[in-house]
Amino acid sequence: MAEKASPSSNSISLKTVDGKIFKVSPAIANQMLTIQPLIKDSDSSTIISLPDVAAFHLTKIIEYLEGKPAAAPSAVDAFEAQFVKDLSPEELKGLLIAVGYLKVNGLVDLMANTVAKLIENKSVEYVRKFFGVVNDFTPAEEAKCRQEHAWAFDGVDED
Amino acid sequence: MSPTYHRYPPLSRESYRDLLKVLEGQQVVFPQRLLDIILLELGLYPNEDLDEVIVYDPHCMTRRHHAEPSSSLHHKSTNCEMRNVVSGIKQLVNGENKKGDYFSEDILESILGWLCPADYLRCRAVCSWWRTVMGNAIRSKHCKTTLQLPLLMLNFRPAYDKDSPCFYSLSKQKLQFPNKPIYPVTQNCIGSIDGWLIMYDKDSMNDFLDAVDDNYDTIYLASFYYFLNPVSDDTVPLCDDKPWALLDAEKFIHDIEIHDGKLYVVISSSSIESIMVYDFQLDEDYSGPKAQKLVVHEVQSFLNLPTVSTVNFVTTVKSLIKLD
Repeated sequence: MAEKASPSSNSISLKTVDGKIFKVSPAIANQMLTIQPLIKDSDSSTIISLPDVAAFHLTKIIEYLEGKPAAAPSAVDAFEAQFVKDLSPEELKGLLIAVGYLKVNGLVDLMANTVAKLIENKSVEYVRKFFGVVNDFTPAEEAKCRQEHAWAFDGVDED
Repeated sequence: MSPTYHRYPPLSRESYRDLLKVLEGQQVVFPQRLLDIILLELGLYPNEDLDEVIVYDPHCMTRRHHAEPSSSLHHKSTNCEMRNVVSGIKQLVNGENKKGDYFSEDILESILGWLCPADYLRCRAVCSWWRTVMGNAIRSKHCKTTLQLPLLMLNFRPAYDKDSPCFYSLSKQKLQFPNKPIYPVTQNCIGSIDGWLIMYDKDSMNDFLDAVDDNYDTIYLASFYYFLNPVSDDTVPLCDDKPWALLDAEKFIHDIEIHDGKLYVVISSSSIESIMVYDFQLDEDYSGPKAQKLVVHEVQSFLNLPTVSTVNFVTTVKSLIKLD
């Protein structure tokens, strides 16, 4: 899984933070906007290091870019639904960071949408727990914040 | 692209619940991500029945200069983003995140873009860094909220003794009362656009009109008008220090709509109503927005309805007037 057979001689090598090397075609690499400027100057011997992307995340990103149907919105929808179906919340968050860092075409929106659906209409406590965020407001500050727009805090879904 | 209008037939106030059901049934016609907070002008005139409800899609319109703060509050540093990403990975691995910033501002905003206004307000309470990001996103209008159904702003305070308008949530089918007034009673709301309320300061304006005598051929009435964001409480003046519009005395802005980069203003006086169209022009040095009056058109002939929104006029007037 770490090494993919290269479809052409001028494939791009990407090295993840856990030391695995992936070879991808320029067409795939070009959809990662962060590394796009590096590709022009690369040859087959160059290895682009991605210090913030783990092998699991890059595998998923390549799976997405290679598997995404070219046409037919309904086919794309089905493919994207399948793509995010089995991801755990932890995997989703990690993948979102990797995708945001690489600025992958189309995938940023998909991941953001998926995460948004998980926190939509949820309580503040749930959102904090979901993202592992520590509340740094004083009790008075938080009470004020809630009181200002109390209607928005009513009727949220059960956690 | 031209704006999309969804029109609904006139309804009496007694049957406004039926109207809400009509709107509720229309959920599928609102494309995801296209609608912003929409505050409809229901019951601005408590003694009259509702005339018409218009739901329009503001995102098809061109950029509106006046609804945006003059200075960009959205500064991003690449280094800062990188740091956030790196620390984010570490925090994910270690399973803790004291500051809540393992997502860069960009990523957080991309999530916010899929949430509705109430989610925004709750996210502001998560931690101080989220609150900052949220504030920037709302102020810069950089990040659009999505919306399942419009939030209706009701000004007639049904059966409650409240000083402020309330909201009716179509998705939750209940009234929501803000804990503090959305705007003081001395202010008047004359419309909404793209999540902003269009306001005027009626006390100040009356004081001003009382103070001047008959010699007020040209007064800068427009300086009493401003935009108010009910979520962030931000205000943006309709015109800055240099008023861009000279409005005739004894005439008041009845309604404002911005469409295709042009400002349509309905002017009311005791007997006639007219519509004026202004064209925005931004100076190259951004010294301030200016507007040029394009046309004044008296529209008393089709003023059978007691309250009528500019959107009606926009569509009607486009067939009457050629705008160049």
